[in-house]
Amino acid sequence: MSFDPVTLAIPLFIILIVVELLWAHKRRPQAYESRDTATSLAIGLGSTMIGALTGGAVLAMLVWAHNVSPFSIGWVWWAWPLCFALDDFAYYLFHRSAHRVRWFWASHVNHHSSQHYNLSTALRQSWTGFIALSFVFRLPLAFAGFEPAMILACGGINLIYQFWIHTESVGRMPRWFEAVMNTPSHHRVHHAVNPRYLDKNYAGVFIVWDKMFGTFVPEDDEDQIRYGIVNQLGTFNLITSVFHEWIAIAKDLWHAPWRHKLDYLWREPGWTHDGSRETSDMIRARWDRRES
Amino acid sequence: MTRLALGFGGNPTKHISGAPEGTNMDDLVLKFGGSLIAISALVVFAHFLGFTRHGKLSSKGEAAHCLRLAAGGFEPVHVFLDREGEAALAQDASGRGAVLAPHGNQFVARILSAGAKLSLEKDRLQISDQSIGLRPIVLRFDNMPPDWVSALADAR
Ligand SMILES: [Zn+2]
Ligand SMILES: [Zn+2]
Repeated sequence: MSFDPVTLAIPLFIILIVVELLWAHKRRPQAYESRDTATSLAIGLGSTMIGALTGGAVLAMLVWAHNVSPFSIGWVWWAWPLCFALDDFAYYLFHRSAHRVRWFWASHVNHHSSQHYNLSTALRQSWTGFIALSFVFRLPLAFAGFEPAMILACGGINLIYQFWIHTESVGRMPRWFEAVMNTPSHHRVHHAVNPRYLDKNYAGVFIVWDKMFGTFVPEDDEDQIRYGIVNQLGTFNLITSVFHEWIAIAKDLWHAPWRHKLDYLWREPGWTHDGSRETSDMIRARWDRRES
Repeated sequence: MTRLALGFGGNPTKHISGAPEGTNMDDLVLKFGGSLIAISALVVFAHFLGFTRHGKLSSKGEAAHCLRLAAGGFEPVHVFLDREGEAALAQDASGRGAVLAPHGNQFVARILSAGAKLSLEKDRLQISDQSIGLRPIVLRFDNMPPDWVSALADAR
């Protein structure tokens, strides 16, 4: 049986984007920009194509990890919810590191570089996740004995869940839902460049991870959200959108003194050896000084 | 897209039969072509719904809010808006200039470099700088802009 949840969901994605476009047309004209949508969808398509080429290698690594492990859980029913929850925790760790380690950020940044927040933004998935070693975070699940195909299916369902939360058309969900699940409101915060929201709400499906590890911030209706990245791209160019941070890393590596070169790979985005740029923590500190 | 052969019926052996079915190139090209058509249709639909338009700054307050988010930080003391609200120029207490450059229906805040060029004409101010890329920003006006704008232009 051939099963790929993300491919199956694509027609649903298209229908929902059409519905959201009609909503925005009536209620929120600034929610969409046709050139931005073109870039987002093209990034999504490119990511899917690259995923088809690297997917085999990722699966092979999961199979290897599963085979060398002394544990094997098999296809028992209870493995599914457990695998899904643990995979979501692995996603939290991946996502947090994707914002705090520049090598990982270079791959993840294209998900954030749109100044819009709509369902097409959700499809801005990375082209360079394989180089940025994103799959590493799922390997422990295979070592723990979960079936590789189950891990990837859970990952696919996780990704599908995250699609619908990229919208301004939903205000708040019921309280119990907001308390446990990642929602449009929580994820709007994650895409915001307002200083108090930077590097918060990393959750995939369950917001509880952020609450447990101190990275949760609720959306404040008084603080109007601006979306994008701290240094806005200012272009809809597809290639720039996908590769700009990798190019910036290469430039920094070239110019940095030898003893700092590696720091430009693993330190947080915005870090410089001479303090000439700001990290998100520095931006927040500056903002707090201004407010007080 | 990874195609997975999932053994839903249970797989007792450790060596799963979950290897990819091989990436069929024809299949991939077909998916690429189909997706490209769907994407183009969505973008054309968005365009015809009116989603290709300029952004509009409703007030100096809104402009100031956007300018404060400029990379590196900027605290505007003076703000000058384009006649239609399609761009803005600002100055901070230390005399630095910053602009809100239009980008689709949004704006991008950029602090002007020392090499920025501001040329003031009868009814428009043109600003070019490395920080805003190749295309200069134009601010149109009906009444002469305030003195700080002329002073900023004279200094460049
Ligand atoms: Zn993120
Ligand atoms: Zn997102």
